[in-house]
Amino acid sequence: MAFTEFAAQVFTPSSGLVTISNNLDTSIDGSSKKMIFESENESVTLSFTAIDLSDWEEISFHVFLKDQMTDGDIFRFTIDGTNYDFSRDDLRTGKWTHILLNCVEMGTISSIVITSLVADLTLMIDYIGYRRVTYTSAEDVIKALKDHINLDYDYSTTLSADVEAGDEEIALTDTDSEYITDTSVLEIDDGGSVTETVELNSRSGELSAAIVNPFSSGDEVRVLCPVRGEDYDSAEPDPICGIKVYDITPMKEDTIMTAKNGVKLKQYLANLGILIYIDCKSKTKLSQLIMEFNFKYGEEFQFLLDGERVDIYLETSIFADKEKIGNNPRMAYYYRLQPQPYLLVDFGYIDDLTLTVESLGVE
Amino acid sequence: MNIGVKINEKDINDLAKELKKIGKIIGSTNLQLHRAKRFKDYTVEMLSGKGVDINPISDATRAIQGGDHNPLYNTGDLARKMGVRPVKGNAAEAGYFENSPLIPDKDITYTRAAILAHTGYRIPASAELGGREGEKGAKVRAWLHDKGIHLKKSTHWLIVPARPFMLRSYLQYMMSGEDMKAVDEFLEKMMTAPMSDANAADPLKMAGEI
Repeated sequence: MAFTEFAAQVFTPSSGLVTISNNLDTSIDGSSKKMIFESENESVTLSFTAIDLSDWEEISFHVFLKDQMTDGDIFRFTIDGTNYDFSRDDLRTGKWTHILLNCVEMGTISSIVITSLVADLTLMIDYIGYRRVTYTSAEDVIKALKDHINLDYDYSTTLSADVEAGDEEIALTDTDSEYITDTSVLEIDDGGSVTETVELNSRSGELSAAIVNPFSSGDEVRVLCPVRGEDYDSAEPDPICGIKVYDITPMKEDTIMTAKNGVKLKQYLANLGILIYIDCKSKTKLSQLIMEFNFKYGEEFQFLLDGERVDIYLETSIFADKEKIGNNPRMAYYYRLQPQPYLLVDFGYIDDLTLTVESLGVE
Repeated sequence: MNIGVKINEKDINDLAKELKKIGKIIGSTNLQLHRAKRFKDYTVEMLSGKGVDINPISDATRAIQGGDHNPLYNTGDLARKMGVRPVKGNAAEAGYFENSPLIPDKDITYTRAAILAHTGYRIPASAELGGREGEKGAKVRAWLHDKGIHLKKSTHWLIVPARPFMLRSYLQYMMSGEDMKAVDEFLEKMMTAPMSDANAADPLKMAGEI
């Protein structure tokens, strides 16, 4: 999957009856826009750097609609003179809806006009761009999950002495905390604009690499729970949230994908088994991290994979307590994911169907 | 025109008996036990043939254990120790259960070994860890040193990756059609057996006989 957001996006209202703001209500990637239309037929013009869509498959975007009671059309997208009207049937209730527009025959475009078809409309739009299905690798999935998962270890201390750029050791106020390990990853914050992430080589304060910025005694030091893929080996931090693809089962499973203006036959090519584990010396902290993980992710969650929100489902989970061999307690979650299906046939829509009947004679 | 229909009461009764028997077999614990056992056999076979492509052993493990080998066989032929048992609701499960025996010459049960194989784990490898972990770490480091494996000072742990062999095997088992075959096989066998065999007193034995 290759997805690119439209570049240099500018949202322009048709009049003072339309308000456009950065969406702080709910968003997928933090860059979404909220549009409030106070009258029917008002519009917003989204302009962007011109792009030839001939080699791309779909325009892709996410829409969130505040409640509407109407059964009719609610808003319209106009692209190069063609209208695409949307009603409640096209949208999910109280959730972001991923919408696809077949763009193979659109040519070059540089703007989209969004028009309200009702008198009072609040519409949010996020992550609008164009895409083409390419093969998704396991590395793509791990990177996307790393970007999505965020856990708060919720422990901090302070520096007990100033530190200069180039130093390879720091002094911590709390030297005996069980929540700091020999391989903790720390974030030092000067309280202003400078933060730096460092890795311990020893809980006494020895660093694995020289620090880049100077910090002062009293600056906050937060212990992180980093999310890592399979790019680590013997230097695995503690705590850690690790992600590992443990299975890639090949398959060919057809699926029909509906765009607003066409139907496509696509094919799932693989079923991935993904292990997400949390490993932590402190069982107290591990319990806390497990609860946070269960709340935020748990049995099923969505994450952004190359511009598309995909679902990932929990298959089972195992808790392994500290053992005689000396390992940390660990919580392991086993998920299954089918990456986006690959395009087989683009049907489009039939606009005109002409049947010609020819008489072959009369008996 | 009149059409006469003659009902053979014996044939109808025989059909009813057959249907009743099929229902009883399908609902029996024995069938589920048979499927669980077939899954176990499939897993053992796939692991033996490396059909379940799990992470190979590391260079360190290869040096320690001597030669190449399937990682699971290192821990006492783990896959073959998988068990099957009936559970509530005429169901059955395959896996590693409580009261599992210790692996010979190891201080860990088969069940614990299976869990750790599925989750991955870390082994202490440095005295700097302090406490009991540090003591263990010092021993591990010294032992490896004697074997010619010299860890870096900064290596505190040996990271053992997860090898969830049962989960991999399960998906392949279901996709391969082996499970359907197991059901067909059991039905065929039971339909020719006396009615009482469908719920034999020793279901484990019964399932194993197929």
